Amino acid sequence: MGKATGFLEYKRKSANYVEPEKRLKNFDEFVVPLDEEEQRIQAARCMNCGVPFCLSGVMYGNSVSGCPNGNLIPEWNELIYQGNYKEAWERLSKTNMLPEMTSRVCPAPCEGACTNGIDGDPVTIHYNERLISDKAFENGWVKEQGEPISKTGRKVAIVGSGPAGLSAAWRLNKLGHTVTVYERNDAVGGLLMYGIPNMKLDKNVVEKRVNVMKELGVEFIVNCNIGKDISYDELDKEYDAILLTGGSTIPRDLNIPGRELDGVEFAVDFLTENTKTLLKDGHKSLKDTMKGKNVVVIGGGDTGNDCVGTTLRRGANVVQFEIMPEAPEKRLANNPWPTFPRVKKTDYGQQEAIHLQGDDPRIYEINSLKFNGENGKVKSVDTVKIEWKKNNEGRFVPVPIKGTEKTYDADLVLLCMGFTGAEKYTLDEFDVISHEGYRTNDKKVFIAGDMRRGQSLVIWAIYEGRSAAEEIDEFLMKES
Amino acid sequence: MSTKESKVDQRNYTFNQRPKSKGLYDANYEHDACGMGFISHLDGKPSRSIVDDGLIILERLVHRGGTGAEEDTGDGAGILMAMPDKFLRAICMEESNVELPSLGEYAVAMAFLPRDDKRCAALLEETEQIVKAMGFKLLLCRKVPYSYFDAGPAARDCMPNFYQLFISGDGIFDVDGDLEHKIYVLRRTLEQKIRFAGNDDYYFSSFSSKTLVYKGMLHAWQIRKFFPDLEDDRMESSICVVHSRFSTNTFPSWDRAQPCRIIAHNGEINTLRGNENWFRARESVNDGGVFKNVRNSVIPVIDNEGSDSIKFDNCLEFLCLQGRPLPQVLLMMIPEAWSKAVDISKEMKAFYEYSANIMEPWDGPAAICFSDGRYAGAILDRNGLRPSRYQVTKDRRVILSSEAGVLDIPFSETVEKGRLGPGEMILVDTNEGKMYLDHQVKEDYAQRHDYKAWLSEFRKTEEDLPKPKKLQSISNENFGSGIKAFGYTFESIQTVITPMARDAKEPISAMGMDIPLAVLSKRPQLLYNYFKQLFAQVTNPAIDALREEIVTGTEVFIGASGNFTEDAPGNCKKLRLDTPILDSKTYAKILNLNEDGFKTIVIDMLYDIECGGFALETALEKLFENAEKAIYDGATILVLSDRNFTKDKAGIPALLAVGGLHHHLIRKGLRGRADIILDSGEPAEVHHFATLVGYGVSAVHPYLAYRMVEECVDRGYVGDLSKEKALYNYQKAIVKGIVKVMSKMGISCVQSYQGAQIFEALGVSKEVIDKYFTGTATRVEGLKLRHIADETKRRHLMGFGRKSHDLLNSGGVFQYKHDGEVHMYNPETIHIFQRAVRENSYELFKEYKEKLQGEESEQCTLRSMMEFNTRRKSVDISEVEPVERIVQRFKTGAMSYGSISEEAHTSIAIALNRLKGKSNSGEGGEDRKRFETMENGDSACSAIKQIASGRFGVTAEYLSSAVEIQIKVAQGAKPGEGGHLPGHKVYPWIARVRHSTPGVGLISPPPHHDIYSIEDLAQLIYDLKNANPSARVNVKLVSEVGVGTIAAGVAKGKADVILVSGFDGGTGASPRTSTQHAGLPWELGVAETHQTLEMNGLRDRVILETDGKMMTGRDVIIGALLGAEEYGFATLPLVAIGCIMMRVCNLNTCPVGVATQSPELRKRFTGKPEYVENALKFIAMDVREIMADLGYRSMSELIGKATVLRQKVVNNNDKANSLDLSSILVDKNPITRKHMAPLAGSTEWDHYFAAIEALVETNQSVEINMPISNIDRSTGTRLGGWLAKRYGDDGIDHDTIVYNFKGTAGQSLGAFVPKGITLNVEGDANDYVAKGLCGGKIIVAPPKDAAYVPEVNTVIGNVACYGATSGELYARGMAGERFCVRNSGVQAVVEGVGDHGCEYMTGGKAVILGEVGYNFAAGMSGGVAYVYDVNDDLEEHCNMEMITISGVEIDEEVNQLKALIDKHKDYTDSTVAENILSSWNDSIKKFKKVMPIDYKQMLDEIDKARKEGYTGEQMLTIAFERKVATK
Repeated sequence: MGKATGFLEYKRKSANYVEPEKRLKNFDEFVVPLDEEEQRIQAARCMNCGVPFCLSGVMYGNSVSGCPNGNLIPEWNELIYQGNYKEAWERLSKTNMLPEMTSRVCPAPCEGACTNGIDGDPVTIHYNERLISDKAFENGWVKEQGEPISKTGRKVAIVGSGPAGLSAAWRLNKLGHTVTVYERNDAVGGLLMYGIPNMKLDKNVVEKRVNVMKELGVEFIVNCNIGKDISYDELDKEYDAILLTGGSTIPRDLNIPGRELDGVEFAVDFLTENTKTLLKDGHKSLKDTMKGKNVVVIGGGDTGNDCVGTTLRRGANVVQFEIMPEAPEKRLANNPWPTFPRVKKTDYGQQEAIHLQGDDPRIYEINSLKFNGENGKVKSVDTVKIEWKKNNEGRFVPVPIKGTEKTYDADLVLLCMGFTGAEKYTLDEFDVISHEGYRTNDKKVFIAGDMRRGQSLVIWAIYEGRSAAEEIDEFLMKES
Repeated sequence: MSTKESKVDQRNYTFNQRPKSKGLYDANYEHDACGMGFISHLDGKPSRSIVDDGLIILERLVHRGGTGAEEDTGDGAGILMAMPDKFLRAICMEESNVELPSLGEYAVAMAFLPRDDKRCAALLEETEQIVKAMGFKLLLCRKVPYSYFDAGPAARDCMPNFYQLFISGDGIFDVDGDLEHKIYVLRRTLEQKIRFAGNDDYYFSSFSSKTLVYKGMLHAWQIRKFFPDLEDDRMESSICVVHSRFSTNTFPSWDRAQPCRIIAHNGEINTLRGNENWFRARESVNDGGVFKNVRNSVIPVIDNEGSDSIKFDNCLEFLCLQGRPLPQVLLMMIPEAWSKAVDISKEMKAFYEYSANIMEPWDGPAAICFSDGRYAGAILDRNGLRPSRYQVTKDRRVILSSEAGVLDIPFSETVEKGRLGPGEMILVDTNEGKMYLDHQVKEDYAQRHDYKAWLSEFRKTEEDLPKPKKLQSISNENFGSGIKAFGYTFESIQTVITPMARDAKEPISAMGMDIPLAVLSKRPQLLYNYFKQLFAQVTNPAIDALREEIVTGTEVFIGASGNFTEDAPGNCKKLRLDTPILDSKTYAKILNLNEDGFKTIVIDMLYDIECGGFALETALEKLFENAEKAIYDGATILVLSDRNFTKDKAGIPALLAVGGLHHHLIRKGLRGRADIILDSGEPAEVHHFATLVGYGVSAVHPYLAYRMVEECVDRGYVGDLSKEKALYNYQKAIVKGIVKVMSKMGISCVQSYQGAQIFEALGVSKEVIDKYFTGTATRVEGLKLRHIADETKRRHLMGFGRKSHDLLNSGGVFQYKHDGEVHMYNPETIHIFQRAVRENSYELFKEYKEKLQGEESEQCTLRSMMEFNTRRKSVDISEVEPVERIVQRFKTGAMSYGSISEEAHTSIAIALNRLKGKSNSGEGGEDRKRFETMENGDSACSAIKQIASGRFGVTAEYLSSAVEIQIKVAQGAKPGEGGHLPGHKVYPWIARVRHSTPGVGLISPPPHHDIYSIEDLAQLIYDLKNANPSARVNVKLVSEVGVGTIAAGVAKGKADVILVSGFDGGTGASPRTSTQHAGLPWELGVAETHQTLEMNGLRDRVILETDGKMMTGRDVIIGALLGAEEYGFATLPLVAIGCIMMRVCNLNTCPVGVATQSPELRKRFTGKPEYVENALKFIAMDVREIMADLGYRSMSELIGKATVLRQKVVNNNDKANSLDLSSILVDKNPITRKHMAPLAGSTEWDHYFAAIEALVETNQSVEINMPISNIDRSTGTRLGGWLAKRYGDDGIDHDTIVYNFKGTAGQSLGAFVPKGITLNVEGDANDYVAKGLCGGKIIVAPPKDAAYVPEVNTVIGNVACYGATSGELYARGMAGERFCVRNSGVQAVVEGVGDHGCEYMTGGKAVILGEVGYNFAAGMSGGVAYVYDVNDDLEEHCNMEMITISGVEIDEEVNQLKALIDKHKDYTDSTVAENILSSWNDSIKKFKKVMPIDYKQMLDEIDKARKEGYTGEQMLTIAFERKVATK
């Protein structure tokens, strides 16, 4: 709280996006932060609540309210308003090992729980975080928070370099352990690298973090698939503890007729490929590569939106299917503050589609029935509209509405309906059959992140990574 | 009572054996106060009438004494006389044919001996032997007759045998002095050999050749009947000192009756523990003075069994016998506020400063009458907190007593009528036949030695210190580690240290505490957190250190004690510092001190962190040893330092080292030889420093906190402040904070607070307390040294362990943090609870409950450490008392309209009225519209009307709208403190209800200015019962050790309900220190109160209520099992209507429209009465389920059945399991019988009122002539309340009912009298004239034939017009202290006032046609005072903080003033007024106008708005907005 009455005096002002016209021309980040002074004033809107719901991280139903990582939001808001960015960075990095990532990709449950949101607009916590992390990288403050204390001589292997793995690696390295991170893909970052397109999270950002970590002594080994390229036994010999942070990487499939057709792909594969090409060959290599193609994106979440934005940039026409009803503009009574707001959000991809195609690409309460193909390639999707009704057991189920059958042209169908869990081969390799907290049935094997808790937010992964690191540290030091 | 059976739990106690510790009752916490007085003939002429009149004085003060469970058992009364030689001589001859030697050559011992004849005879036998062996002659042993039936049954059950022993002779031992000295040695020898050798019931109420005391556990009116001696015509004396006691409990206490051997004391020594310890320290280092040859017979001086008054008497007696005159010793023990006073002579100041080197003040409210047979006199404490009125008659008698008018002496026979002001003394010397007024006595003693010269030669100040030693600095790395090791958090730096460094004051917090008690917390706690600050309630007042700074003193005196047996220059060989907080430079200088009589030695305060509790204990022993050695090496200043802390060596918790060393040195008799200074990295917050000083440290140098302050400057936390300024601010904030902490207990001087141990430990084992904090209360056991070591180690590892590089922890004490302390109100509980009440879902409520007290939850409260333990069979829930009945026991907490919004306030009131529970208005008044039922049948009238110290909006009409009237003595979140509603929150609609001016701040003083003592509280209760006989009177107290005995006193004061609040309750604004560290949990308070009331036979008289963070049905059930019958909720209903614990109530920025007046934010309010209803119903449903489970069908079956509970054992919390709750969970019978009788006989008034009603209805007026005396109290109040109920405060015309009284009116003349009533007293009046006046008119003037000059004599007592809202007062003569305190509308004219006049005034007019005392207009935020300033010295007497002084110039104003003086002349025949008026044009130039700055600004704005054409509320709103905007 820079100012007790800040929330009354200043209006919320969010970062700007580059105009769709312009941003559609490349895969560059499109968020244009406010200038420093404006963002600093935004921090004055924080009320420094006695009970800051923003940092609570409580689960109500399936969604989280407030920051699961307990980020010390009021503390750094105050420091931003004071213009004390260095210390703001310290308080931010005390809990968040990867704020430059979350300040770009996090859906900000903190803002949903912000007290200002009860009757007004929440504080721009997300962009405040961005300001601090930008400052930190600009000024080279990042490294000093990770400087290791005296080496313990203990070695830890981390399997998977996504946010959980990186978060754990950062902490363990700082605690003096020797950390090696294994990544099966060709670059470090997991989901951050290939799961999220460049315009949302510039891959330079990931690279910068990884570079700092390398400078601090973390070793990264890419293209190394544990369980396939290296066995458990080999790790067991080399390391005192192993942390599994492989993520939840098995995409949910849609088993309807025609699923085997070419052009029906998992979004994650498509996006990975897209980013790889971008990094290798630049924007131009992708431009107009899908011109005149019809793309159907199945799934209404963030990844679906990323697919919309990505395919639009490559020249396609896009529709996006969502099985759920259209969300309301405002919170409903059964979704009160501080629960995660279930309101309609028109994200960058959808905005761009509206810009290009005139209409919102989203079609709600629609079910795909069948992929139709020609020569083994998908050509269209048969659909029907549905409504949600209670079944005999009292659960809501989708019921087709007669006469609403419709076929959509499709040259590419992207399935983005989430992930079902971790790679079985990894778990099998480590013989993990159960876990309690971050510990598994094998006392030196730990597990964290989406691999442990299932598909969730980056910020959860960060929390799990650092929490697991503390347990590993305790384990290692007790053994000594 | 007709039956002569004792109701009190007696079980064969002897006359002085109070029940020892039993459950939570502890005899040490008994308090008393009283009425007292003396009468003396100036020439020392003994007469029968002096004795007779003394007894009459006693009888006329009966209402100031206490009555226990039995109507005819008093708390004690007695009379001390100059030796009644005539009677004794005659009776000895008559009864035993013994001829007494001449007066002065024999002594009389008045002995209380065992009732048992055998033991009595044996003790007499032993006494005789000793008397003879010591060379005295026992002339006669006379059995004193008494009248058995003139004492109450409880008193009779434990009555002693009374003997007078007549003794003569010289003794065969070597003592300088007269018979009195030798007799003293004899008495002390007898005491040591007999009384202290296991015969507690062997006591001398007097033993002297000069005085004799008759006293007992009697009512004032019984004393004469009980001792026939006193009725004997030959019983003549020249001096009588009398005393009538009001004790807070009813246990046998024949020996605790007063007078003691020299004094009669009305008051309480707040710093007793410290005074006793320091006295012991000093007596151990001197040679006994005149008693040096028999030192062992007389030292120790203090009788451990005695009350505070008796201990005071012991010390006084000893110091007098050393050769100091009695008045001088009194001036030393109870000095006036001299350090800041402007018109005390230099010589006098030097005398006081010299005396301060010998002894710290015995601080607390005190009016003391004294006599040694030659002198008679009285002295008042520096705050003037007890009334003392005196008069001198034509026939040379001097009479002083607690009230005026105690003897019916005609005004025409009286030549002087005065009162003692704060710190004043009067003295009668019967040898010289002279009476001395205050300054005459004092100057005499100031001149006896050249104290100034002594001081300048021997006393040191900072300037006299040597060059500073170079301090070893703390490396950056050690700083980083140190702050973690010593418990700093980001929160404490940002929200405690930063604001102090920036603003020079302690930050404010809101909404109370909801984190675990220190002993339950899983986070390592600093030892300070286990010590809870105690505070004054009822039996003595807190004081306002801010507005009455003039009486406070922060100086400390350091070094070896001198020899207090004689006055010599060397006694002032001490270092005097202005405050106990040392800056680094002064500290460095002290380190270099090594010269004649001063030597500083530094002792390391460190221990080996790895070795735990054992190492800690060993290190402490070593530290003590080093300290002893240092003292033997000549050290007079011991510096304990943890500066050399390292990775392996941690600082010993400073409080442990300091407290431990202090007590170790006391035990070794070395404490007087050196003082302790602390150089530590640990203390940082106000509470830390307060505890350290409270446990004996003289000064603290907090080197790490200083470093942190500098760091805050570097980090830019404090704006542009320089380091020097920030450090200065920080020190100032700490000193102010300490003063505030001690003022809560009513202590004015740091010197007295030092070592006074005004704390209760919560969660510390007795073994630790006994050794290191001897004498501190600790009632539930708790941590041992190993736990302390463990916590220290955990913190030390944060600083030096592997994770020492991690950034500082967040803390989370006040603000919920993810990884901070557990909070009961957290995002989850708040959200689920709010959904539950909004959706009316009991299922969700259960979920909320589960989060709070389920298996997973952490223990936060004492009750969380309890579980149910019963073998009763469950009953079906349908059989259990219904929800509708249970909720009737529920109340909401006092939250004022002003602190919360109208929407919030009415929602709660409506909800509780629907439930038939009771909501509480809080202290902000209530709009009269709300007294009526609403159209839809709802009522927003708060059933409970609160009366707090600010008395805002308290009128007869307000009182008559109440079902219950609550007197807020203390508040859980900030007991002992007042409040301040800043001007920007006084919106026009708030101002209207509070009878004040918009935009002008309102101050609630720390004490009620009409409750300085238990008898004052009884008087206020009496006032209120008169104002509204059908309302229950509720007294709100806060839990602390001894609250049970206070509650017993309150019950004796005839309250109907006693509320014992927990410390953790919410509040709109309170200093952080208070919120967190003052007061105790209600579990302790309720259990202690229930147990104590029960033991006193008082439990059936009152309803016991509790509150403090009650959140579930389980909380209610536990409250009930511990003894509470009604239950309060405040935070909970607020959360129900939308509060999300922002803790910004003090900022007016509440974003949910609850705790704000901002119209913009109030729009955000979404609460509904239904939510509050749901919340309380859920609680009741929860209660029912538990009851069914436990097998109880009704709440009343549960009350007090504490054995249904047992202590729980919790996992992974060794510290929590070290608690022992057995003293709480004792078996006490439930209530057997409940009798509630509001003002008995009130219906008898019906006829009388019918007549009045007829008059009013027919527009007639009436005039009534009657006599009046001091026993006629609250005159006019009953009638006023009745009228206001029917016609409102202003429903009938002025002068409709006129009373003409003759005589001296008792207390509270015209209290709460509305418009239409006029009270005209020809004579004078006591305290509280026109208290709460709301429209009525009061005139007091002496009769024409008075033999004294009215304008220089006192006509009305203290605290006139307190909280009055409208009406008029004219008094011919002077008023006492605190005239017009918190007046908000009355127009008053008097001819002079005492100290603190117009304090906290917010409206109305005060016209003073004579002198004003000190500190005039302190805290005055509104209203105007006109002072006729003939001497042109008004400004010197004013507290200029909030006011300006100007002439009276505007015509309109001049005319209004003249009109008032005209009226004064007409009503009172005032010659002063006549003279002023006769030369009006000259007179008006001498008038000064005292006007609050803010008030003037606001009036100007209103005027401006009016001129712009605005009217009414709109005009006020515009003016308010402009005023606030310019701030």
